[in-house]
Amino acid sequence: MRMISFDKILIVFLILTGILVFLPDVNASENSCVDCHKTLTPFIEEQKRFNQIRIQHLERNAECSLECHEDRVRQLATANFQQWAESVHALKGVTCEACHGGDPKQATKEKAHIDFKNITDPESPVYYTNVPKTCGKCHSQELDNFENSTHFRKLESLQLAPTCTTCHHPHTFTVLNPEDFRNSCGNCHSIYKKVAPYDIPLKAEDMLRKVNKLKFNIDNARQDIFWAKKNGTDVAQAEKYTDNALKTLGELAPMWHEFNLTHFEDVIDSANSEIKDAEDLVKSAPVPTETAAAPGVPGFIGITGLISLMAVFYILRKK
Amino acid sequence: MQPHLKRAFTILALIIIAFIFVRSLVVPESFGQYGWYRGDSVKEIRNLTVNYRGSASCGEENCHENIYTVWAKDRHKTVNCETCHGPAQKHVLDAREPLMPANDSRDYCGKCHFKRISRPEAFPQIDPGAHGEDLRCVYCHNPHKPWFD
Repeated sequence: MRMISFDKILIVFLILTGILVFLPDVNASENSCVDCHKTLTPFIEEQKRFNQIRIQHLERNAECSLECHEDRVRQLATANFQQWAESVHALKGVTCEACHGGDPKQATKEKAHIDFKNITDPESPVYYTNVPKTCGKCHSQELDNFENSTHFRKLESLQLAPTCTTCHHPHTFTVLNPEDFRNSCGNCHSIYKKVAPYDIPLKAEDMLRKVNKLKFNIDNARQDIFWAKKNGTDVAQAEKYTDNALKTLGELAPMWHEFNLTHFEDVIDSANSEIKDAEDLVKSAPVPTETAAAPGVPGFIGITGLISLMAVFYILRKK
Repeated sequence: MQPHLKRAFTILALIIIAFIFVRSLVVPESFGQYGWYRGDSVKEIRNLTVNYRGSASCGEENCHENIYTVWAKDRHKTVNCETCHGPAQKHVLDAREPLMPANDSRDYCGKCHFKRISRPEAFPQIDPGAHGEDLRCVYCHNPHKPWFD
């Protein structure tokens, strides 16, 4: 009798554990795609709103599906064309097939789509890990630098790292606003996700600020050189310095894609020191400014004199 | 009159005379020109140097347009540029005059954002011991565009 009840308890226990193990996760939004993609996917305002709705669905455990939102998805597909049409790519005549493959010159749809592969196909030129090579067909300098980066090595080895389109949103191909670095890069570079140094977004932002400062310094130096030249100073050497700095400034944008902030900063600093040399050559010694004399305190002498006078009277009277 | 009263009145008279004398020396001429204060002080205060310029001038003239538009649209739009970046008048008059580095210390952000029982509950506040591992807030939060998860 005793043995049987023990067995029963054991069976009930096992069933309960089984239920617990196979119980679906209560909070579906936990560790879902949305965790990363709410800030990583390309967004126009419309898409942002769409994504917000998606997050709300997931929080209520409702999966969003193509069956429910077919018209919506269709609309977004048109948005891609709209975004491209307003981009620099459209302006320069870089059309869909340049990245997606296919042959628009063919007469029939079947023939035109012969080389076309879906974006989820690892052979597709716009598959996540193939994107750098595709962009590099035209942007070779950027690709060369990107291939030297830790991002690229991680992309090759782990298939998990930012690619070109992470920052340059596909179809619009705008440059990521530095104000969004902490939000976007912070998806990995944060103290809570121990995958990358947390201070990188801030450092990167500071670095771009330094680039602006360099531009500003070059402008100032060129102004000063212009006036020095008018005054008859020899500015050949100073002009050489600023030309070098300008050349470095032009190389900074491709070099950014190396994602090596130490190297980047060194290059900026060397350009800045060249500008400083140029300024030293054309600038005359600063005129020392006169310091104003401290104003006197009126009334103070009067008060002390009077008090001492009264004290003398007081002593005389007492005697 | 009794002698002790005489003495007292003499002392009182002396004190009054001394007061009038001292007052005539100490009170500046322009006192009472406009009201119960020194009239010249108006001129002096008017001549004080102005150190602050106001946020609008940062976004003007194509200088910090990008960051200005980001800031002006976001939740920190009520906190002015110079609150963190310091007085900017000199820098606005001569762009080559650099600004002081912005105050981005943890305690400075904490002036508004550390948890206080007296603050409205909806206002974003953190418990400094439990959040952020004692690092500067700006490592994760962009002060021009604060976002909350």
